Amino acid sequence: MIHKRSLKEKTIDYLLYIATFSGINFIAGSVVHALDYSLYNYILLFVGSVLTPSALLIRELMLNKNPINRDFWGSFGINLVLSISAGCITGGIIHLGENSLFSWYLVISGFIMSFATAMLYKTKPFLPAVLDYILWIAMFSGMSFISGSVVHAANDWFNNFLLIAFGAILTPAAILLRNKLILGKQTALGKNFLILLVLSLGVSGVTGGIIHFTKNMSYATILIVGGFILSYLAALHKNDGSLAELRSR
Amino acid sequence: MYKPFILTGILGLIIYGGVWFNVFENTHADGHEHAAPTHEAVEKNNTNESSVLNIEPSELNKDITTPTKSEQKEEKHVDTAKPHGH
Repeated sequence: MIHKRSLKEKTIDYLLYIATFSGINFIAGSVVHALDYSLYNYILLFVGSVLTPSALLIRELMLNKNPINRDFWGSFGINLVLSISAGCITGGIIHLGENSLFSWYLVISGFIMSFATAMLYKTKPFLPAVLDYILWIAMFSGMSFISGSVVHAANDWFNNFLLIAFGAILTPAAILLRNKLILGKQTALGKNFLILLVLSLGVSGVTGGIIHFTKNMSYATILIVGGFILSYLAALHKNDGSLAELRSR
Repeated sequence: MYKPFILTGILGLIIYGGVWFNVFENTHADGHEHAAPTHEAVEKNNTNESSVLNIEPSELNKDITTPTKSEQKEEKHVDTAKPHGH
């Protein structure tokens, strides 16, 4: 029998989810905007570095009631490196029009770092591990293309429109293929994909608004407030399991 | 056990590349740093320009809208020319 979660459980799960992924987005965002050399950027890097491990620790201790051992820190480190590297790849692609040389540097170094991590810590044979890596990056990137384009929509809507369309096809296709080829389970794409899509849009609205706050304050405020409402409403629709399962590796 | 060291090495190379990239971005291709020209240098350059072109400073104030004799002759020739008709 599926345990239906109460409003309190859903809210705690949502707060831990947004803290975990906001921290990752803050770190990736501060790396992508490294050439700004602003104090605000360094603060974001520090906040992100504290926020993600804290939220994950609280989740393990409070919700999952798991002991904190070496394995926990090991998988935490791998996921952190993979997520930040993937954030650098998509951040680099989204910012290609601003500083193409630095953006390509981000894309290539993000790919090298994430691929090296995935291959060093692979638990499958080489080819399935490569396929798993490609599909995971595709899922993550598709979502980031959509959310990143919404964040940059105030500056350059038409160039971003293509990325939104590409991301909207890439993510469900990657989830579909990953479930079928890697995890070998039935694909329940409809509701979970919609929750993940709206949740990611909302969380990226919040984090993108905070990251770009100094560039366009009025648009950033709309993004932060709208993002909170959107992501919380999406989180309330997840009745079983936790939100983190939607984008776990 | 060796895996974290490999990753740290790759990260170190990427950060080193980032620092090198930053230095490269702020310098000319010939290795000299970008520097805005000083006010004195700009002024000196402006005063030297007439001597480089071999023009006397008084020549620069001449009314260039007044046509010379040869120019007047040429204009006259154009005026008298009949248009071609079919």
